Amino acid sequence: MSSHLALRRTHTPAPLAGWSRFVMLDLHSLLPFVKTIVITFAVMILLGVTTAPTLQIAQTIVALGVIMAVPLNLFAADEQAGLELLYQILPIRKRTRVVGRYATVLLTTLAAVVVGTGSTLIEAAVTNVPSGGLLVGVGTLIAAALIVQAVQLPLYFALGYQRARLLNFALLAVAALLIILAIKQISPAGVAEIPQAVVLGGSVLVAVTCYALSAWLSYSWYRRREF
Amino acid sequence: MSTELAIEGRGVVRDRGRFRLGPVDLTLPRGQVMGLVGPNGSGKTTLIKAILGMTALDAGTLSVLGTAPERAKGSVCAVLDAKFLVPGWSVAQAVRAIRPFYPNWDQNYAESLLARFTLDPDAKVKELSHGEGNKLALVLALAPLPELAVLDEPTSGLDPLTREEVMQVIRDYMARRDSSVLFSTHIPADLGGIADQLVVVRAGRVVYSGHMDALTEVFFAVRGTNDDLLPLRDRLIGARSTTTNFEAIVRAVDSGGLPSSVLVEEASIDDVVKALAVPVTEGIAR
Repeated sequence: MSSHLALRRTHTPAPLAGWSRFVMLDLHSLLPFVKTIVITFAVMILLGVTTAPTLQIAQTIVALGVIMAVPLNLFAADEQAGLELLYQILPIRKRTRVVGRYATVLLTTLAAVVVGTGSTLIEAAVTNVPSGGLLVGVGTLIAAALIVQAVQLPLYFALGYQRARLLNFALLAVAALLIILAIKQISPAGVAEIPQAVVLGGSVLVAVTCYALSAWLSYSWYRRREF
Repeated sequence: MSTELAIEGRGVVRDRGRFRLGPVDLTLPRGQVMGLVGPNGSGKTTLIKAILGMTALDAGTLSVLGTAPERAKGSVCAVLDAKFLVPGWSVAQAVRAIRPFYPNWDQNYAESLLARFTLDPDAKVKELSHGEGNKLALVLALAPLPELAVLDEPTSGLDPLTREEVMQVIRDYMARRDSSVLFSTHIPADLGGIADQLVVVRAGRVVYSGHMDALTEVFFAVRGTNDDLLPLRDRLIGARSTTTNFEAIVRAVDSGGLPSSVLVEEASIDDVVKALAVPVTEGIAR
Protein backbone atom coordinates (compact mmCIF):
# COMPACT_ATOMS: atom_id res chain seq x y z
CA MET A 1 0.00 0.00 0.00
CA SER A 2 1.78 3.12 -1.15
CA SER A 3 0.27 5.39 1.46
CA HIS A 4 1.94 3.28 4.11
CA LEU A 5 5.16 4.82 2.91
CA ALA A 6 3.99 8.07 4.41
CA LEU A 7 4.38 6.47 7.82
CA ARG A 8 7.85 5.10 7.28
CA ARG A 9 10.61 6.63 9.30
CA THR A 10 14.06 6.58 7.77
CA HIS A 11 15.92 7.65 10.88
CA THR A 12 15.55 7.35 14.62
CA PRO A 13 14.89 10.77 16.11
CA ALA A 14 16.58 11.78 19.35
CA PRO A 15 14.34 10.99 22.31
CA LEU A 16 12.31 13.98 23.46
CA ALA A 17 11.76 14.99 27.05
CA GLY A 18 8.42 13.89 28.46
CA TRP A 19 6.86 17.34 28.42
CA SER A 20 7.97 18.01 24.85
CA ARG A 21 6.44 14.70 23.72
CA PHE A 22 3.24 15.87 25.34
CA VAL A 23 3.51 19.20 23.49
CA MET A 24 3.79 17.25 20.25
CA LEU A 25 0.70 15.26 21.18
CA ASP A 26 -1.14 18.47 22.03
CA LEU A 27 -0.19 19.99 18.68
CA HIS A 28 -1.42 16.81 17.00
CA SER A 29 -4.74 17.09 18.79
CA LEU A 30 -5.04 20.70 17.59
CA LEU A 31 -4.66 19.62 13.96
CA PRO A 32 -8.41 19.25 13.36
CA PHE A 33 -8.88 22.82 14.67
CA VAL A 34 -6.10 24.39 12.62
CA LYS A 35 -8.45 25.54 9.85
CA THR A 36 -10.69 27.42 12.30
CA ILE A 37 -7.76 29.03 14.08
CA VAL A 38 -6.09 30.07 10.82
CA ILE A 39 -9.34 31.52 9.42
CA THR A 40 -9.89 33.55 12.60
CA PHE A 41 -6.35 34.85 12.41
CA ALA A 42 -6.70 35.68 8.72
CA VAL A 43 -9.88 37.64 9.42
CA MET A 44 -8.11 39.53 12.19
CA ILE A 45 -5.19 40.43 9.93
CA LEU A 46 -7.51 41.41 7.09
CA LEU A 47 -9.49 43.64 9.42
CA GLY A 48 -6.31 45.30 10.58
CA VAL A 49 -4.96 45.92 7.11
CA THR A 50 -8.20 47.13 5.53
CA THR A 51 -9.43 49.41 8.29
CA ALA A 52 -8.18 52.48 10.05
CA PRO A 53 -6.42 52.24 13.42
CA THR A 54 -9.82 52.69 15.09
CA LEU A 55 -10.24 48.94 15.05
CA GLN A 56 -7.14 48.32 17.13
CA ILE A 57 -9.18 47.53 20.23
CA ALA A 58 -11.34 45.05 18.32
CA GLN A 59 -8.19 43.49 16.92
CA THR A 60 -6.72 43.14 20.38
CA ILE A 61 -9.87 41.45 21.61
CA VAL A 62 -9.93 39.11 18.63
CA ALA A 63 -6.26 38.31 19.22
CA LEU A 64 -7.01 37.51 22.85
CA GLY A 65 -9.93 35.41 21.73
CA VAL A 66 -7.72 33.41 19.41
CA ILE A 67 -5.16 32.96 22.14
CA MET A 68 -7.84 31.77 24.54
CA ALA A 69 -9.32 29.46 21.93
CA VAL A 70 -6.22 27.26 21.98
CA PRO A 71 -6.59 26.06 25.59
CA LEU A 72 -10.34 25.85 25.00
CA ASN A 73 -9.84 23.53 22.03
CA LEU A 74 -7.22 21.46 23.81
CA PHE A 75 -9.40 20.76 26.81
CA ALA A 76 -12.43 20.26 24.59
CA ALA A 77 -10.50 17.59 22.67
CA ASP A 78 -9.50 15.99 25.98
CA GLU A 79 -13.11 15.44 26.90
CA GLN A 80 -14.80 14.96 23.55
CA ALA A 81 -12.23 12.55 22.16
CA GLY A 82 -11.56 10.79 25.47
CA LEU A 83 -7.93 11.91 25.43
CA GLU A 84 -7.74 11.82 29.23
CA LEU A 85 -7.98 8.07 28.85
CA LEU A 86 -5.12 8.13 26.35
CA TYR A 87 -2.99 10.24 28.69
CA GLN A 88 -3.50 7.68 31.42
CA ILE A 89 -2.45 4.81 29.19
CA LEU A 90 0.62 6.60 27.87
CA PRO A 91 3.78 6.64 29.98
CA ILE A 92 3.45 10.25 31.07
CA ARG A 93 2.96 11.44 34.62
CA LYS A 94 0.33 13.97 35.57
CA ARG A 95 3.01 16.54 36.39
CA THR A 96 4.48 16.13 32.90
CA ARG A 97 1.03 16.55 31.36
CA VAL A 98 0.53 19.84 33.23
CA VAL A 99 3.97 21.17 32.24
CA GLY A 100 3.41 20.04 28.65
CA ARG A 101 0.00 21.66 28.41
CA TYR A 102 1.35 24.95 29.75
CA ALA A 103 4.20 24.75 27.26
CA THR A 104 1.76 24.16 24.39
CA VAL A 105 -0.38 27.11 25.39
CA LEU A 106 2.67 29.33 25.78
CA LEU A 107 4.08 28.18 22.45
CA THR A 108 0.86 28.83 20.56
CA THR A 109 0.45 32.19 22.28
CA LEU A 110 3.93 33.25 21.23
CA ALA A 111 3.23 32.04 17.70
CA ALA A 112 0.03 34.11 17.69
CA VAL A 113 1.93 37.13 18.96
CA VAL A 114 4.58 36.75 16.26
CA VAL A 115 1.93 36.55 13.54
CA GLY A 116 -0.04 39.40 15.13
CA THR A 117 3.06 41.60 15.35
CA GLY A 118 3.91 40.84 11.75
CA SER A 119 0.40 41.75 10.69
CA THR A 120 0.58 45.01 12.63
CA LEU A 121 3.83 45.92 10.89
CA ILE A 122 2.24 45.15 7.53
CA GLU A 123 -0.79 47.17 8.53
CA ALA A 124 1.44 50.10 9.54
CA ALA A 125 3.25 49.93 6.23
CA VAL A 126 0.03 49.71 4.17
CA THR A 127 -1.87 52.43 6.02
CA ASN A 128 1.16 54.64 6.65
CA VAL A 129 0.29 54.67 10.34
CA PRO A 130 3.40 54.95 12.54
CA SER A 131 4.12 51.72 14.41
CA GLY A 132 5.72 53.47 17.37
CA GLY A 133 4.88 51.89 20.71
CA LEU A 134 4.52 48.49 19.07
CA LEU A 135 6.81 46.88 21.62
CA VAL A 136 4.70 48.28 24.45
CA GLY A 137 1.59 46.97 22.76
CA VAL A 138 3.04 43.52 22.26
CA GLY A 139 4.31 43.39 25.82
CA THR A 140 0.93 44.40 27.19
CA LEU A 141 -0.87 41.88 25.00
CA ILE A 142 1.43 39.05 26.10
CA ALA A 143 1.02 40.00 29.73
CA ALA A 144 -2.77 40.20 29.37
CA ALA A 145 -2.97 36.90 27.53
CA LEU A 146 -0.75 35.06 29.96
CA ILE A 147 -2.56 36.41 33.01
CA VAL A 148 -5.89 35.32 31.53
CA GLN A 149 -4.46 31.89 30.73
CA ALA A 150 -2.89 31.63 34.16
CA VAL A 151 -6.37 31.98 35.63
CA GLN A 152 -8.25 29.83 33.12
CA LEU A 153 -5.86 26.86 32.94
CA PRO A 154 -6.23 25.75 36.58
CA LEU A 155 -10.00 25.86 36.10
CA TYR A 156 -9.76 23.49 33.16
CA PHE A 157 -7.39 21.17 34.99
CA ALA A 158 -9.62 21.15 38.06
CA LEU A 159 -13.04 20.96 36.44
CA GLY A 160 -12.53 19.80 32.86
CA TYR A 161 -13.79 21.50 29.71
CA GLN A 162 -17.56 21.14 30.17
CA ARG A 163 -17.71 22.58 33.65
CA ALA A 164 -15.00 25.21 33.21
CA ARG A 165 -16.04 26.67 29.87
CA LEU A 166 -18.82 28.91 31.22
CA LEU A 167 -16.39 30.31 33.74
CA ASN A 168 -13.94 30.71 30.87
CA PHE A 169 -16.39 32.77 28.81
CA ALA A 170 -17.18 34.95 31.83
CA LEU A 171 -13.47 35.43 32.26
CA LEU A 172 -13.07 36.39 28.61
CA ALA A 173 -15.80 39.02 28.96
CA VAL A 174 -14.22 40.48 32.08
CA ALA A 175 -10.77 40.47 30.46
CA ALA A 176 -12.09 42.24 27.35
CA LEU A 177 -13.81 44.85 29.50
CA LEU A 178 -10.71 45.47 31.56
CA ILE A 179 -8.56 45.79 28.45
CA ILE A 180 -10.95 48.32 26.90
CA LEU A 181 -11.00 50.33 30.13
CA ALA A 182 -7.22 50.12 30.44
CA ILE A 183 -6.66 51.25 26.87
CA LYS A 184 -8.99 54.19 27.38
CA GLN A 185 -7.03 55.20 30.46
CA ILE A 186 -3.67 55.06 28.75
CA SER A 187 -2.32 58.37 27.60
CA PRO A 188 -0.33 57.91 24.39
CA ALA A 189 2.17 60.50 25.56
CA GLY A 190 2.59 58.71 28.89
CA VAL A 191 3.06 55.36 27.20
CA ALA A 192 5.75 56.80 24.98
CA GLU A 193 7.68 57.89 28.08
CA ILE A 194 7.88 54.36 29.54
CA PRO A 195 11.16 52.74 28.55
CA GLN A 196 10.34 49.78 26.31
CA ALA A 197 12.79 47.59 28.21
CA VAL A 198 10.80 48.19 31.39
CA VAL A 199 7.56 47.18 29.67
CA LEU A 200 9.10 44.04 28.25
CA GLY A 201 10.87 43.13 31.49
CA GLY A 202 7.73 43.75 33.48
CA SER A 203 5.69 41.63 31.10
CA VAL A 204 8.12 38.74 31.31
CA LEU A 205 8.22 38.96 35.11
CA VAL A 206 4.45 39.04 35.40
CA ALA A 207 4.07 36.19 32.92
CA VAL A 208 6.63 33.92 34.55
CA THR A 209 5.26 34.54 38.05
CA CYS A 210 1.67 33.99 37.00
CA TYR A 211 2.50 30.89 34.98
CA ALA A 212 4.56 29.31 37.76
CA LEU A 213 1.83 29.87 40.36
CA SER A 214 -0.84 28.78 37.95
CA ALA A 215 0.99 25.57 36.97
CA TRP A 216 1.52 24.68 40.62
CA LEU A 217 -2.18 25.22 41.32
CA SER A 218 -3.17 23.21 38.23
CA TYR A 219 -1.04 20.25 39.26
CA SER A 220 -2.36 20.36 42.82
CA TRP A 221 -5.91 20.10 41.54
CA TYR A 222 -5.33 17.84 38.56
CA ARG A 223 -3.45 15.14 40.46
CA ARG A 224 -6.48 14.62 42.68
CA ARG A 225 -8.83 14.14 39.75
CA GLU A 226 -9.84 10.59 38.82
CA PHE A 227 -11.27 9.76 35.44
CA MET B 1 8.12 -8.80 44.64
CA SER B 2 9.35 -11.19 42.01
CA THR B 3 10.09 -9.76 38.58
CA GLU B 4 9.21 -13.17 37.13
CA LEU B 5 5.62 -12.07 37.45
CA ALA B 6 3.96 -9.71 35.02
CA ILE B 7 1.19 -8.97 37.52
CA GLU B 8 1.06 -9.74 41.19
CA GLY B 9 -1.83 -8.50 43.28
CA ARG B 10 -2.50 -9.28 46.93
CA GLY B 11 -5.73 -8.28 48.63
CA VAL B 12 -6.45 -5.62 46.02
CA VAL B 13 -9.44 -3.50 47.06
CA ARG B 14 -11.00 -0.56 45.29
CA ASP B 15 -14.06 0.90 46.93
CA ARG B 16 -16.16 3.15 44.69
CA GLY B 17 -19.08 3.67 47.03
CA ARG B 18 -21.82 1.65 45.37
CA PHE B 19 -19.31 -0.86 44.03
CA ARG B 20 -16.46 -2.57 45.78
CA LEU B 21 -13.79 -4.60 44.02
CA GLY B 22 -11.98 -7.19 46.05
CA PRO B 23 -10.18 -8.26 47.95
CA VAL B 24 -8.62 -9.79 44.86
CA ASP B 25 -5.48 -11.89 44.54
CA LEU B 26 -4.02 -12.10 41.07
CA THR B 27 -0.86 -13.65 39.65
CA LEU B 28 0.20 -13.60 36.01
CA PRO B 29 3.62 -15.12 35.26
CA ARG B 30 5.62 -13.44 32.51
CA GLY B 31 5.08 -14.84 29.04
CA GLN B 32 1.57 -16.06 29.79
CA VAL B 33 -1.91 -14.95 28.78
CA MET B 34 -4.56 -14.42 31.42
CA GLY B 35 -8.20 -14.42 30.45
CA LEU B 36 -10.35 -12.18 32.62
CA VAL B 37 -14.02 -12.99 32.33
CA GLY B 38 -17.09 -11.64 34.04
CA PRO B 39 -20.40 -9.97 33.31
CA ASN B 40 -20.82 -6.21 32.94
CA GLY B 41 -20.26 -4.42 36.23
CA SER B 42 -18.37 -7.33 37.76
CA GLY B 43 -15.20 -5.30 38.28
CA LYS B 44 -13.10 -6.23 35.25
CA THR B 45 -12.54 -2.65 34.12
CA THR B 46 -11.85 -1.45 37.66
CA LEU B 47 -9.24 -4.18 38.02
CA ILE B 48 -7.73 -3.24 34.67
CA LYS B 49 -7.62 0.44 35.66
CA ALA B 50 -5.77 -0.52 38.82
CA ILE B 51 -3.27 -2.58 36.82
CA LEU B 52 -2.74 0.36 34.46
CA GLY B 53 -2.17 2.71 37.41
CA MET B 54 -5.25 4.70 36.51
CA THR B 55 -6.90 4.32 39.88
CA ALA B 56 -5.57 4.20 43.41
CA LEU B 57 -6.09 1.16 45.64
CA ASP B 58 -7.96 1.40 48.91
CA ALA B 59 -6.15 -1.68 50.23
CA GLY B 60 -3.72 -4.35 49.13
CA THR B 61 -0.64 -4.31 46.95
CA LEU B 62 -0.30 -4.49 43.21
CA SER B 63 2.90 -4.96 41.27
CA VAL B 64 3.21 -4.80 37.49
CA LEU B 65 6.43 -6.07 35.89
CA GLY B 66 8.01 -5.96 39.32
CA THR B 67 7.21 -2.35 40.06
CA ALA B 68 4.34 -0.02 40.91
CA PRO B 69 1.74 0.19 38.10
CA GLU B 70 2.46 3.88 37.43
CA ARG B 71 6.16 3.14 36.96
CA ALA B 72 5.54 0.25 34.58
CA LYS B 73 3.61 2.29 32.02
CA GLY B 74 6.44 2.49 29.50
CA SER B 75 6.34 -1.31 29.15
CA VAL B 76 2.58 -1.74 29.33
CA CYS B 77 0.14 -0.97 26.53
CA ALA B 78 -3.60 -1.22 26.52
CA VAL B 79 -6.68 -1.49 24.39
CA LEU B 80 -9.57 -0.10 26.38
CA ASP B 81 -13.23 -0.51 25.68
CA ALA B 82 -13.67 3.23 25.07
CA LYS B 83 -12.70 5.81 22.48
CA PHE B 84 -9.42 7.58 23.14
CA LEU B 85 -8.35 9.07 19.81
CA VAL B 86 -9.16 12.44 18.23
CA PRO B 87 -11.95 11.79 15.70
CA GLY B 88 -10.39 14.25 13.24
CA TRP B 89 -7.09 12.39 13.17
CA SER B 90 -6.25 10.14 10.29
CA VAL B 91 -4.95 6.66 11.05
CA ALA B 92 -1.44 7.86 10.14
CA GLN B 93 -1.78 10.90 12.41
CA ALA B 94 -2.87 8.67 15.28
CA VAL B 95 0.24 6.54 14.76
CA ARG B 96 2.45 9.63 14.59
CA ALA B 97 0.86 11.06 17.76
CA ILE B 98 1.38 7.93 19.86
CA ARG B 99 4.72 6.70 18.49
CA PRO B 100 7.05 9.18 20.27
CA PHE B 101 6.00 7.92 23.69
CA TYR B 102 7.44 4.44 23.17
CA PRO B 103 11.17 4.00 22.54
CA ASN B 104 10.65 0.38 21.43
CA TRP B 105 8.00 1.28 18.85
CA ASP B 106 8.39 -1.01 15.85
CA GLN B 107 7.26 1.01 12.86
CA ASN B 108 7.61 -1.86 10.42
CA TYR B 109 5.41 -4.00 12.63
CA ALA B 110 2.87 -1.15 12.91
CA GLU B 111 2.76 -0.86 9.14
CA SER B 112 2.45 -4.59 8.65
CA LEU B 113 -0.48 -4.68 11.08
CA LEU B 114 -2.18 -1.74 9.33
CA ALA B 115 -1.76 -3.54 6.02
CA ARG B 116 -2.96 -6.84 7.47
CA PHE B 117 -6.06 -5.14 8.85
CA THR B 118 -6.43 -3.17 5.58
CA LEU B 119 -6.59 0.06 7.52
CA ASP B 120 -6.09 3.03 5.19
CA PRO B 121 -3.59 5.45 6.80
CA ASP B 122 -5.52 8.36 5.31
CA ALA B 123 -8.87 7.29 6.74
CA LYS B 124 -10.20 9.48 9.54
CA VAL B 125 -10.68 7.91 12.95
CA LYS B 126 -14.29 9.11 12.96
CA GLU B 127 -14.93 7.26 9.70
CA LEU B 128 -13.72 3.91 10.99
CA SER B 129 -16.25 1.22 11.80
CA HIS B 130 -16.34 -0.21 15.32
CA GLY B 131 -14.25 -3.17 14.20
CA GLU B 132 -11.72 -0.96 12.41
CA GLY B 133 -11.47 1.23 15.52
CA ASN B 134 -10.67 -1.86 17.60
CA LYS B 135 -8.07 -2.93 15.07
CA LEU B 136 -6.39 0.48 15.15
CA ALA B 137 -6.38 0.40 18.94
CA LEU B 138 -4.73 -3.02 18.77
CA VAL B 139 -2.07 -1.73 16.35
CA LEU B 140 -1.31 1.15 18.72
CA ALA B 141 -1.11 -1.26 21.65
CA LEU B 142 1.15 -3.85 20.03
CA ALA B 143 3.52 -1.72 17.92
CA PRO B 144 5.37 -0.48 21.05
CA LEU B 145 6.22 -4.17 21.70
CA PRO B 146 4.99 -4.02 25.28
CA GLU B 147 6.10 -6.50 27.92
CA LEU B 148 2.50 -6.56 29.09
CA ALA B 149 -0.51 -5.92 26.87
CA VAL B 150 -3.79 -5.24 28.63
CA LEU B 151 -6.68 -5.83 26.28
CA ASP B 152 -10.09 -4.83 27.60
CA GLU B 153 -12.79 -6.36 25.41
CA PRO B 154 -10.79 -6.12 22.16
CA THR B 155 -13.34 -8.35 20.41
CA SER B 156 -16.45 -6.71 21.82
CA GLY B 157 -19.09 -6.06 19.18
CA LEU B 158 -17.07 -7.60 16.34
CA ASP B 159 -18.47 -9.95 13.75
CA PRO B 160 -17.05 -13.50 13.90
CA LEU B 161 -14.63 -12.98 10.99
CA THR B 162 -13.20 -9.73 12.35
CA ARG B 163 -13.02 -11.32 15.78
CA GLU B 164 -10.96 -14.18 14.44
CA GLU B 165 -8.71 -11.71 12.58
CA VAL B 166 -8.05 -9.81 15.81
CA MET B 167 -7.50 -13.02 17.78
CA GLN B 168 -5.02 -14.26 15.19
CA VAL B 169 -2.97 -11.08 15.50
CA ILE B 170 -2.87 -11.50 19.27
CA ARG B 171 -1.82 -15.14 18.90
CA ASP B 172 0.91 -14.16 16.42
CA TYR B 173 2.12 -11.46 18.76
CA MET B 174 2.39 -13.95 21.59
CA ALA B 175 4.23 -16.36 19.34
CA ARG B 176 6.88 -13.85 18.33
CA ARG B 177 7.38 -12.16 21.69
CA ASP B 178 7.84 -13.37 25.23
CA SER B 179 5.20 -10.94 26.38
CA SER B 180 2.33 -11.26 28.79
CA VAL B 181 -1.27 -10.47 27.99
CA LEU B 182 -4.23 -9.73 30.20
CA PHE B 183 -7.27 -10.33 28.04
CA SER B 184 -10.66 -9.28 29.29
CA THR B 185 -13.66 -10.56 27.38
CA HIS B 186 -17.34 -11.33 27.47
CA ILE B 187 -16.80 -14.18 25.08
CA PRO B 188 -15.23 -17.19 26.82
CA ALA B 189 -14.71 -18.95 23.49
CA ASP B 190 -12.12 -16.27 22.61
CA LEU B 191 -9.86 -17.65 25.31
CA GLY B 192 -9.63 -21.16 23.90
CA GLY B 193 -6.17 -21.86 22.54
CA ILE B 194 -4.72 -18.59 23.75
CA ALA B 195 -5.17 -18.18 27.51
CA ASP B 196 -2.93 -19.96 29.99
CA GLN B 197 -4.70 -18.63 33.05
CA LEU B 198 -8.36 -17.89 33.67
CA VAL B 199 -9.78 -15.50 36.22
CA VAL B 200 -13.53 -15.26 36.58
CA VAL B 201 -14.93 -12.28 38.47
CA ARG B 202 -18.41 -11.74 39.75
CA ALA B 203 -19.71 -8.83 41.80
CA GLY B 204 -16.20 -7.58 42.48
CA ARG B 205 -14.81 -10.91 43.69
CA VAL B 206 -12.69 -13.56 42.00
CA VAL B 207 -14.82 -16.70 41.86
CA TYR B 208 -12.26 -18.77 39.97
CA SER B 209 -8.57 -18.42 39.31
CA GLY B 210 -6.54 -21.19 37.80
CA HIS B 211 -4.88 -22.73 34.82
CA MET B 212 -7.01 -23.02 31.69
CA ASP B 213 -5.93 -26.60 31.05
CA ALA B 214 -7.09 -27.58 34.51
CA LEU B 215 -10.48 -26.03 33.99
CA THR B 216 -12.08 -29.01 32.34
CA GLU B 217 -10.45 -31.34 34.85
CA VAL B 218 -11.70 -29.39 37.81
CA PHE B 219 -15.27 -29.05 36.55
CA PHE B 220 -17.73 -31.29 34.70
CA ALA B 221 -20.91 -30.26 32.94
CA VAL B 222 -24.04 -31.93 34.24
CA ARG B 223 -27.50 -32.12 32.70
CA GLY B 224 -30.65 -33.71 33.96
CA THR B 225 -34.30 -33.32 34.72
CA ASN B 226 -35.61 -30.95 37.34
CA ASP B 227 -36.56 -33.95 39.51
CA ASP B 228 -32.85 -34.42 40.19
CA LEU B 229 -32.12 -30.75 40.74
CA LEU B 230 -33.33 -30.13 44.29
CA PRO B 231 -31.45 -32.99 45.98
CA LEU B 232 -28.25 -31.93 44.21
CA ARG B 233 -28.48 -28.18 44.66
CA ASP B 234 -25.66 -28.03 47.23
CA ARG B 235 -23.27 -29.73 44.81
CA LEU B 236 -24.19 -27.95 41.60
CA ILE B 237 -22.82 -24.61 40.49
CA GLY B 238 -24.72 -22.15 38.30
CA ALA B 239 -27.69 -24.41 37.69
CA ARG B 240 -30.04 -23.15 35.01
CA SER B 241 -33.36 -24.84 34.55
CA THR B 242 -36.10 -24.81 31.99
CA THR B 243 -39.55 -26.15 32.82
CA THR B 244 -38.29 -29.73 32.63
CA ASN B 245 -34.47 -29.83 32.50
CA PHE B 246 -31.47 -28.23 34.09
CA GLU B 247 -27.83 -27.76 33.26
CA ALA B 248 -25.00 -26.84 35.58
CA ILE B 249 -21.41 -27.61 36.37
CA VAL B 250 -20.05 -29.60 39.26
CA ARG B 251 -16.60 -29.78 40.78
CA ALA B 252 -14.84 -33.02 39.90
CA VAL B 253 -14.47 -33.79 43.59
CA ASP B 254 -18.23 -33.47 44.04
CA SER B 255 -19.14 -35.51 40.98
CA GLY B 256 -19.02 -38.94 42.59
CA GLY B 257 -22.31 -40.61 43.41
CA LEU B 258 -24.48 -38.54 41.13
CA PRO B 259 -27.69 -40.34 40.08
CA SER B 260 -27.44 -42.25 36.82
CA SER B 261 -30.21 -40.07 35.39
CA VAL B 262 -27.84 -37.11 35.50
CA LEU B 263 -25.59 -36.83 32.47
CA VAL B 264 -21.99 -35.95 33.37
CA GLU B 265 -19.69 -34.87 30.57
CA GLU B 266 -16.62 -32.78 29.87
CA ALA B 267 -17.31 -29.10 30.44
CA SER B 268 -16.49 -26.49 27.84
CA ILE B 269 -14.94 -23.15 28.78
CA ASP B 270 -18.30 -21.64 27.98
CA ASP B 271 -20.11 -23.97 30.41
CA VAL B 272 -17.73 -23.20 33.24
CA VAL B 273 -17.51 -19.47 32.75
CA LYS B 274 -21.26 -19.10 32.33
CA ALA B 275 -21.91 -21.07 35.49
CA LEU B 276 -19.30 -19.23 37.54
CA ALA B 277 -19.74 -15.70 36.28
CA VAL B 278 -23.43 -15.23 35.74
CA PRO B 279 -25.65 -15.10 38.82
CA VAL B 280 -28.52 -17.58 38.84
CA THR B 281 -31.54 -18.31 41.01
CA GLU B 282 -30.82 -17.74 44.66
CA GLY B 283 -30.48 -20.95 46.63
CA ILE B 284 -29.24 -22.91 43.66
CA ALA B 285 -26.01 -21.17 42.72
CA ARG B 286 -23.09 -21.18 45.06
